[in-house]
Amino acid sequence: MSTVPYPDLIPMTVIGGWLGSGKTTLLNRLLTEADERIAVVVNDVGDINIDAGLIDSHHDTIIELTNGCICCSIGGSLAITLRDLTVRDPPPERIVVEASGVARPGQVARYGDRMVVPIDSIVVVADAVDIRRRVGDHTYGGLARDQLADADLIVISKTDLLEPTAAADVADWIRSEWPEVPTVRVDADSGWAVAVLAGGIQHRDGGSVATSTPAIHTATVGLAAGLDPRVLRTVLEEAPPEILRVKGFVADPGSAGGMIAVHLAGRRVSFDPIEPSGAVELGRLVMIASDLRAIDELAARLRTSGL
Amino acid sequence: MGEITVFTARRVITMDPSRPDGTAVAVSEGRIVEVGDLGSLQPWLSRHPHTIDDRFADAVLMPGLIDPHLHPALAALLLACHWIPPEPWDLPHGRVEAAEGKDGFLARVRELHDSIDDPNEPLVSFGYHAQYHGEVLRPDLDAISTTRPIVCWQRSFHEIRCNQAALEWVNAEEGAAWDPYIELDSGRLFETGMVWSLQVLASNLMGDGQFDEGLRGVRELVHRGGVTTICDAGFGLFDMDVEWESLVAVMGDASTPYRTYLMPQVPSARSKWKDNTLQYLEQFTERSTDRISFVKAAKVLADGAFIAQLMMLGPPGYIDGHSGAWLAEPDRLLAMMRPFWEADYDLHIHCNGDVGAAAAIDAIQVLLHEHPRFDHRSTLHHFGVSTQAQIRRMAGLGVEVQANGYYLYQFGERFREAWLGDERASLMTRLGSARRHGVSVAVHSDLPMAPVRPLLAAQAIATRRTREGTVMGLEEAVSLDDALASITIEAAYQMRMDYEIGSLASGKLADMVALDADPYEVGAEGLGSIGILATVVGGEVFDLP
Repeated sequence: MSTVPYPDLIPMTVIGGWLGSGKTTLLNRLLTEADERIAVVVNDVGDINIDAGLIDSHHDTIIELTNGCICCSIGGSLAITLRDLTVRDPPPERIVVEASGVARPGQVARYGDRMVVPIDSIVVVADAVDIRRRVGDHTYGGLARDQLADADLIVISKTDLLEPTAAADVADWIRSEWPEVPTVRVDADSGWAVAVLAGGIQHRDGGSVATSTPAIHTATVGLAAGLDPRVLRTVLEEAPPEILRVKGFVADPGSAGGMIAVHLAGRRVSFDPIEPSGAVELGRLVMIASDLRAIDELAARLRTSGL
Repeated sequence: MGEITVFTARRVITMDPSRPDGTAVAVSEGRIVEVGDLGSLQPWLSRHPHTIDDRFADAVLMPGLIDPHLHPALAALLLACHWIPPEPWDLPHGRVEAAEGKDGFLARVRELHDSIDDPNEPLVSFGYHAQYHGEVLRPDLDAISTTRPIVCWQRSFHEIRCNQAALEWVNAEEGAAWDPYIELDSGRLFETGMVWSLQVLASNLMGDGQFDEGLRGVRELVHRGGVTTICDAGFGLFDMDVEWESLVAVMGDASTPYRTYLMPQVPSARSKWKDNTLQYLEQFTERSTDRISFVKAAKVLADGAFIAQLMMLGPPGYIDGHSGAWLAEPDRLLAMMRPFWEADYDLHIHCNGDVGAAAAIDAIQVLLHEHPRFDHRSTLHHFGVSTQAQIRRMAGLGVEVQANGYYLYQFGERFREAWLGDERASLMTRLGSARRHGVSVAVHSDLPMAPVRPLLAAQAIATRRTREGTVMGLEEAVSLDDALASITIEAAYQMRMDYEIGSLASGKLADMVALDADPYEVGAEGLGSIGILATVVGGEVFDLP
């Protein structure tokens, strides 16, 4: 029994932002650090500099990574690229699309069959060093402004290149110009990437819904010894929606010394046997949630289920 | 030295200002011995066996014309369509007249529909343009047939209009769920929506040997234009291996009445080879045949198309307020150009709007600063809308212009009304200013965007007279000499082939065109009406079909 309402849905995140704002750096990080099988769609795979050690294979327009993620270029049509990604075997668990530096991310988010790839969020990167100049530009100021207005989350990049007071000024200015959009500073808050990958950003759907800055809570929960993995699975499948991510390892009762990697991501639960390793700690789950009470509730359920 | 052939002519125009004309040209082993007259040639003729060939005695010989930017593969694809264009075209199978207005357009579709027996066979037409044919939508086409898929491909290649049967044929319903540019009610598929339909259309138009058949048509059009050298300025648009194979089969051997140079399309190559593009291209481009080889040049694209009005315009923008599109935004354009620049490739940059031109000029300025080069011959192609300030920057940086000579002629008046206004429409392809600042000016057809008729293009840039007869922006006209140079020696210069072709002088290749009138006698207004009698490639005569 599953609590996942539409198990075939593949949430889609659009990452926008002006040329050179740092989109590719962020995408590269999502791609190499993702725990789920994500597919990143970029304008040109030649532009994304993936660590060669992570590359499994390199076809015409697709780079496959050893962690199951892929990176592909848009080629002729984003619509065709997205459709083709969803019929891959196995399909990706999340699609992240890089909007071109001079595109409106809201326009890019119009691509894709919403019955298959619902829009999860639009994240726009703003370069702290020159976003104010961009917005004031004679030719392109309007487009730079529109990009930020499309955002569900603004990630302020390159704050480390500014004096602390100047960085704070830029962040304040962005918040005053787009008060309805949550913002994070890439140097101060590393939770944004987790929130994006875990579906923790609320999509405003045309900018009508205001949200507060996403809060991300992390906790590690110990499991009762001897907890049946089947019971664990049922509990995780019924986890409160505020639980964004669960990851950990449990012993496999079916094989001596066997281990199982447990994941909850994007409303999906998976139990994958892994090679036994002394490096993993069994019986502990890392939980990430948008509300701390959800972690407490899930931990309580696990305690009672274990009895 | 082998035997000498002397072609006599009413006049031989050399396009070499140091020795502008003569009445005879001596040729040996495919190259020119000298241009002069039978008297001045005597030092050669008295010492070597020779024959006098007077078949062109009443004709005018000039250097074989050059079309330095066209797309054989794309043209071959579209030649498999039924043409219903807004202007008359001479196609391989005969002349196609313009369709006037919506009624005229739909009557032609109906005529084609009636001429095809199988009621389910698709009918794909090319040439529809809303500025000339009004809004042709799904209900208009459904009224012609509910069983036969009918596709009207827009003149700019960016859009199709379909009837219901065609929407089903190209899986438009599925496409509409994925692509915002597919409209089922109106039957319009544009931009990426059109690309969706290519999944079905391309195989329909390229299968069954139709692609090679289309290329044979291109071969004929090139020959008829009096052209002895072409450059495929987007080689690899579909697939390098497939295109190479078909080009070699159709225009690779010495029976071909022109030489073909290939310039790889960098974005297409990059999608295949990514960061290793330069190394792979260096290997790929070593190949050649009797008639086909590569130029050491790379084609990149800045902003969108002119005919579709997707070029990037600065303020005040388009009259109707729509936006242009980048094909590669400024930073990606620069990154794409850099490895080729550093490897001494000439860069040829497609740009149509003033903002597209700015991106191209900025990129060259950066590259010149990073890695200085002399005689780099970087060239802006198409050059729809530009500014006077840009011309001066180009002159300073050594950037040349290769314009579509046909833009103003065909689209000047319509685009003035609909999109650009009088000033920017009148000054499109600002070539007079370019010449005044010493910038090299060549023109091309960009086939299938315009016909391979270099003399018509030369007429258009020298007169600034539109097809409808209005003169627009006379201050941007070039001289008759410059117009003729733009389809010969300047085109050769921009291809870095001016040491071999583009003018008639001792030692250069004996590539010529025989005309039925003297361009200097008929003047600029008459250039497009001059008849092509034959071409000569490497001293061998190719009569027109």
